[in-house]
Amino acid sequence: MKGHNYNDEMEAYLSGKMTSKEEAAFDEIIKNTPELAQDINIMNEIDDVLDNNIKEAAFRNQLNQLGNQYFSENENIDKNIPKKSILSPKWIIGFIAIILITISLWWLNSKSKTQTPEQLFAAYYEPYPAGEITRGNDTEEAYISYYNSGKYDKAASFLEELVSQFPDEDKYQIALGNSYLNVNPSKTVEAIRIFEKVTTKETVYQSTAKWYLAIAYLKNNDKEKALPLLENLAKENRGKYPQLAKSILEKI
Amino acid sequence: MTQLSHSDQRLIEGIAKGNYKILEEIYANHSSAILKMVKNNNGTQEDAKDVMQEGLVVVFKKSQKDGFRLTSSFFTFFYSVCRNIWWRMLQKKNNKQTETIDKTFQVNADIDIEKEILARERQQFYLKKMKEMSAGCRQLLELFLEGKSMREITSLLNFGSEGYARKRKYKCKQQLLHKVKNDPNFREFL
Repeated sequence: MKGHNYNDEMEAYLSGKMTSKEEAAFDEIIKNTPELAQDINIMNEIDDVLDNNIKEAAFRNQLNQLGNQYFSENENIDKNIPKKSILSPKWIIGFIAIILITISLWWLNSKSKTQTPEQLFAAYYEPYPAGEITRGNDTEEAYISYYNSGKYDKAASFLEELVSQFPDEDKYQIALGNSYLNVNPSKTVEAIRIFEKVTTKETVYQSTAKWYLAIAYLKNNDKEKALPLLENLAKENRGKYPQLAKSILEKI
Repeated sequence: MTQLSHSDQRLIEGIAKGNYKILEEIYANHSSAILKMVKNNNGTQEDAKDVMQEGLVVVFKKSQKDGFRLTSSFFTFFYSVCRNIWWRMLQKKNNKQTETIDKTFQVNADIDIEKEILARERQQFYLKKMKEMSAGCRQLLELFLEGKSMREITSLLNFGSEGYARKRKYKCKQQLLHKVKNDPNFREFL
């Protein structure tokens, strides 16, 4: 690859713009140029990350919940079963039976708890990522800095200012709603009001707003209102929210 | 070659579809073995949780590739994946610890598994390097990560046409390729 730069050919190859003859010839060059083969492989792997990130995130979300459930359970078993016991076998059997019953009850209890709206909120909620600095003013920089460091009450005060200055910028509304979801519970109603407003507009933020509105309803323990939104999202065929909505619907 | 049982096939299909009940069944049946393997080899419960999660992601990715088939029972395969993952994690934590890892359940070294684990690590590395890119490219690629379509991104970033958006995406991917290749740490994922 040192003698020749294959940038143009690689672009044509990866975008499927080569004829089959050109592609076969380039395949031969790839075979004999290890560095080029590595570049092509990396570009394909980057595409895989970009195309499948959503699907993988939804999958990981499920694993995270199961991991929390099963590994804490295992730890309990591990801690509670004595390695050497001075008790008689009868006592040991009784002791183990009590432990198993306790663990089963705890497990059933914790399993049923994951079905409640508030538990689902805790399991599924992730703050919407703060955007890039687009206006370059101090207010925007301040909100992003506070938001990214988890100081949502301070972020909210700057976002309220931005929302009043730029009422049509949905990204500020989404970020403000998210900030409210992270401060005291009395602000959840305000978050709901904001997300409701954004869901009525046909913009690229509509699905995002629907998702966070459903999540806010769950936080508010209002399963009835969350359900139709999740069902609606589950029918969509783009983005990460349909998978997440389907996953919640299985457990709600 | 071992005949793949119906039950094992069901597990693979369930993982490929992200079926919660199947995943729960796998955790119920295999989490204790993974916990034991990790704890017996200098790990903690939290490490075991991560290993099991990464192991299932590897199987998930593999199950979506054409031609993937098990050549052993699901448990043997999955245990081997998890063991390899824990081995890699230990290597990163402290090379010396890998000397003590047990050989229980060790199956024939499966080059495919190692390749898949390295591919997974490379993908995590790409995500890390994306954060070091110029603001414009970072924003563009993050929108793709969020699952936005070319049309949505064209409108969101005022690109004028989808063709231009596609061109920008390619340039950003190239920028990422150079960042990845120029990082000396990338060698450990090859």
